[in-house]
Amino acid sequence: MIWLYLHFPALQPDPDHPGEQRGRLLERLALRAYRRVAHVALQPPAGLVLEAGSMWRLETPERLQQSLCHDLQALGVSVQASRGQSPLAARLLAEAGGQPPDLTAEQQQERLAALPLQACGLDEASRIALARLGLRTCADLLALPTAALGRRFGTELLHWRERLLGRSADPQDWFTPPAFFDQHQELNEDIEHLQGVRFPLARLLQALEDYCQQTQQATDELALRLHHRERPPTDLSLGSAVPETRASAWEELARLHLERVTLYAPVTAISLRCRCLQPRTAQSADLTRSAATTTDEPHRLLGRLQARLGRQALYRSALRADYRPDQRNGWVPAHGRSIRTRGMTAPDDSTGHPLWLLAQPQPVQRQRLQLLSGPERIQTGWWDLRGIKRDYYRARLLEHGLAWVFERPDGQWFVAGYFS
Amino acid sequence: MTVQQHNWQPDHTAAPHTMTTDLEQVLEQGQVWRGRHWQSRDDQALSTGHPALDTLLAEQGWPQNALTEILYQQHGIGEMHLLVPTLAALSRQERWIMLIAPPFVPNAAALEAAGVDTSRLLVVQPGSVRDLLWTIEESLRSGTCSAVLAWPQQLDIRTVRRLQLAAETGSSLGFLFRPEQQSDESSPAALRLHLSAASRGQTEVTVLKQRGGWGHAPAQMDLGLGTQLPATAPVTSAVADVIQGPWEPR
Repeated sequence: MIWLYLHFPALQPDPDHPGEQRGRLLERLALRAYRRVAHVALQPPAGLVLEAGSMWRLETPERLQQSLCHDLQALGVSVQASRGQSPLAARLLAEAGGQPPDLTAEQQQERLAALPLQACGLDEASRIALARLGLRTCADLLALPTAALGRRFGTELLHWRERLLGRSADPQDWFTPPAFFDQHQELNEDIEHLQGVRFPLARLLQALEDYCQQTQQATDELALRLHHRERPPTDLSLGSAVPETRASAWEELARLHLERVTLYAPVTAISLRCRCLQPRTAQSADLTRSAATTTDEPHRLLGRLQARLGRQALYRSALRADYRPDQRNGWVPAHGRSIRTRGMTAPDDSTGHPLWLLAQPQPVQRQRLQLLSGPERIQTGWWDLRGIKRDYYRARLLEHGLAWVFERPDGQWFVAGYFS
Repeated sequence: MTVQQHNWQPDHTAAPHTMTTDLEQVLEQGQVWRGRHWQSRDDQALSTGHPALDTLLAEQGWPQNALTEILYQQHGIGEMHLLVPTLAALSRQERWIMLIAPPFVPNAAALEAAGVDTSRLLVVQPGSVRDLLWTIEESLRSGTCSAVLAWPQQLDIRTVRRLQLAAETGSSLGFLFRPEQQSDESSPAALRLHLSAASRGQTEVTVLKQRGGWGHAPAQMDLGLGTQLPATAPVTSAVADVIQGPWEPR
């Protein structure tokens, strides 16, 4: 087996900063490395160990080391990487400054042998004992006969040496990507304008895109929380009309959404959470048509409008099989892909009905109406509490053109809509 | 004056060479107006569905990828019936038909009965004027709306120009419904129609301005407001009283 160790000097514990955030950062780095390697294990506080041998058919360990370093440096962290025959050997070499990727196995052995024992992370007692014996480098330790080493230093150092040489098992706690996305970002300074939130948010959305890419999932809803110092956090729900993974699309939706938000206190941190993920479905675009006409595009427009105007501003028709005109003609807020099932159609007797309806029928005086045709009696709905008994007429309404009016049993007249 | 198209190749043996160059020079200098500029537009215009109106229009239909303004006296003058055949044709496309800030609730059942697939309709009620204009522009520009019908309160000429450009970008048909008081303002829309009531339920349609053509004398057409009226005299109130049967619980 070939092991790869990535050491991040910037993640070394720093008493000035809380450790919790760094743990999250290491997880993010592990997530990124997981894109290339199946077996990744966290080595807190500042390292990742990867098993590179099993990925051989995809990438040689040398290439893997190169591309991993490239990936992680693109995230803005510096990396010291090294390969080795055992996790421990790779770690020691990486912590000592990293090795270039094109080193042969023999050269690696030489470098390992040259490492000073004092820098090998041994416990205090062993280090003192080794120093007293005059052992300076790994080579000195490896040259000692096993039996003599065991007698002098006990089994612990013996095990350590076996692990270093890769002779005894060194089980790793393999990393598995979290089941949902939840990330938090402390801001370097308080942000008072929502414009300023966009940049840290873009970073989180990029992480989301990475996460979705790895797990081949997509989401249509994100919970964004803006933390304040002395106020309860502001919760925003970002929705997309179609399951989306791309950070750029989410950024635009978030921008439109944030335009509607009023900020009452500076933002100290933001967190992004996504619990409802769904498997991503592949979209095949038409080769001959332009990109704008893929099947998702119409829904993207819906998403953009919703983000800016709010979910209650857009309506789609939801016809119901009902003879009451105001019941039949339902308009429901347009959510996502909720397309009406075409099986249930309304009774087809609306030919003589007007194109415009009033949201609420308006009372009208009988004298203002000149009845033109009718009546059409609609008497139904006795099974629920909104039963109606109406006689509908076409009528000319003074100053309003052609109206659709009805009379109730009690003789009261109403305007229901206008012909147009 | 119109000049023959390029596919006409001059016969060099018959026509002196110098003449061709003269002609080309004249053309380059732009001294000749070539009628093909609007006649050879290759995008097929969409018929309005009203033959009487089609004959008035230069492209025998709605100007494609452009803005049409419909100025009208009052609601209920036939402005929706004017568009129903168009909406029915466009709802066959996999694109939205947007109704932005309509003055009343559209009757989906009646639209469906008229042949419009209402699952393609999207009604938007923006909260502010700014949002309204943004929505119109965004919808026109997106390329995912076959038609955008909007009822804006106020529009200035710069906004109309922006919307016109957006309609070109998104290859969409834009229809702006505006009160007739605004018909005096100049507008960059490709087509401006004026609707007013005429006698016997007819609607009088006037082409105020159109791209690539001329305005026309008003034409009267039947926009569905008169068809279902009985041929006999209107129902009088007395007749209505007779029809009104005795309702049981009084």
